[in-house]
Amino acid sequence: MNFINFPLYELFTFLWNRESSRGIVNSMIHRDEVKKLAELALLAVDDSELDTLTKEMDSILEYISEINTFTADIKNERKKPLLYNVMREDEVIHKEGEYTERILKEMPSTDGKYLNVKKIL
Amino acid sequence: MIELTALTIQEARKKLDKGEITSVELTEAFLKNAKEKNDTLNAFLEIFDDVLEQAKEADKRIANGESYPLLGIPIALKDNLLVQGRKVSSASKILENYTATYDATVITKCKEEGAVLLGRTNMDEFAMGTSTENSAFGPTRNPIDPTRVPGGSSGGSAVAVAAKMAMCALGSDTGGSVRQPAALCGIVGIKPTYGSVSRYGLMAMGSSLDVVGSLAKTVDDAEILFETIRGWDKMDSTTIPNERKRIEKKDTYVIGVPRDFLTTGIDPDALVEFENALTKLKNEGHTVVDIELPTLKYSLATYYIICPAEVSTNMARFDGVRYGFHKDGVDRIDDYRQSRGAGFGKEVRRRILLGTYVLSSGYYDAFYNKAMQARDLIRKDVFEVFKKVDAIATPTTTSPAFKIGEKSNDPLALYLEDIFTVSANIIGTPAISVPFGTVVRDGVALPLGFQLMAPDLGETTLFTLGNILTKNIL
Repeated sequence: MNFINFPLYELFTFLWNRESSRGIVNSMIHRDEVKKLAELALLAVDDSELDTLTKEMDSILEYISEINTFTADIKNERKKPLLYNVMREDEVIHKEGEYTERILKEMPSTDGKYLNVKKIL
Repeated sequence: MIELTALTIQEARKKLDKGEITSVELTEAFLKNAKEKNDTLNAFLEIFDDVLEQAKEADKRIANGESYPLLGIPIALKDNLLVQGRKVSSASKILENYTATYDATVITKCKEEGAVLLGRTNMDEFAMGTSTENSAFGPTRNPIDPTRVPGGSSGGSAVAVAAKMAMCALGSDTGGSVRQPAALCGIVGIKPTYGSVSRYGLMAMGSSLDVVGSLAKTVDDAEILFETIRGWDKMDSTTIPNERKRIEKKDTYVIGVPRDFLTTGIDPDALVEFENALTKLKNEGHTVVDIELPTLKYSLATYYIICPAEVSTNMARFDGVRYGFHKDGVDRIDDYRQSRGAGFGKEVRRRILLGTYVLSSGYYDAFYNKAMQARDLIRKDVFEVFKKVDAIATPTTTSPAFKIGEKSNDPLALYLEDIFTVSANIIGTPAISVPFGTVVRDGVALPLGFQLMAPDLGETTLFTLGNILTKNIL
């Protein structure tokens, strides 16, 4: 039985050990970086939440870093991509105004048939 | 008197068509259960107010001689499927008061057949989770032991079926969200081949992984529902053309077991039941062989890179400007930040941040690109194995349902719940979870799920084997 290559074993050992093994020095992500990411993602994150978030993200990142032990030669694997573009004619398929009222009703702030937004410039 | 809520879809169909029962009677029976049990279980976020009118309409169609598999059958819908004119929230505060402006294709198909849409079921917010604890509207409870989770993210749908509050239900599966709750609630859940069911009108989570699946009491019921909702759709360019050949039924099957993936980390009692299931398959004349899939160990890490990356992209549409929850900030940009910060729950925000991280220029190659390469190789390896076997078997989960709150402060421990289910989503292949065996915890017999994965368009293989496994059980 090869325990070393074993994912569940690794994960459980990791879950068991992470509190003790993770120090500031080994952190994958710091508080400031989480703050920066939140800014990039346009997410208001309360300062009081940052520490927990950093801790949680750090352990998740440490786990998914396992992907970097993956070393197969994969250069030629993407000959036939799984996902490809499906093209269609650029045509109007809905009746004009068919959805207008329904969509307008969902807008947080409207003025007649206009959507209110804050000043951009 | 027959217990109407115990009927299978086929049994109900016969009785409805013969006029022995009406859809109104059938619907009332489920409605009674739903209303009585929902306070405790929180499976439904909303029970529609026109359910009996829908049933009356179905009865009229039956009286006119119409017959479709789902005509007059009460069905529950996961809260991320759009039904025009009805609220739909993905169990999120950001869409709490949102009303759908069109019908999802799967809903159109159910409506065309005359299914009775009972209501929308609770879920992990935007389908992110494995316990239905991440709902903005409170957790759903497992009907077998209400102190335990029902699994997730389609937890409400699984509970609705298991507690006989609905005859069957629709869910969505991005990393196990149909199969895992089906397993923990003791019912059947199928994640069909990627692209076999239209996702038009399903709120997107991980677009290269998402698929609409069905949950039901029996394998046949799950198949009936799948046959109704499947098919190419011009509104979803990722759907598979109908002319693509499906894998046909065989008399005997070869089932592969990735032993090196199953030696530890699994509840020992659950492993015993897994072996019992394999024995049952052997006794029925099928062959069980050991297989090696060394790249499978990268599945979970791969999934938790690709999924958050796609989440961060898909969640970008929620801006508090055009629809949904809006919170004022100091300026336009701050409006976005405040609306999204207050509208999204913790797990959604966590995945958006993770996705933003793995897609950022500094880490893109180390994480996202690497995960895409691993995805290709896992698929290649699995398909190599599929040259020798018809299906791959694993338990659906490592253990039975856990306690509510037990893992809620440990996101990584919750991610581990997906270890056996994510591979099918990464590869795109179909997989089913059927109930097999129980383990007793705190005096309660908790159900376990047996998972089978087949090559693309191999749903028939899964239904056939699923039926064999659940024979004399369901």
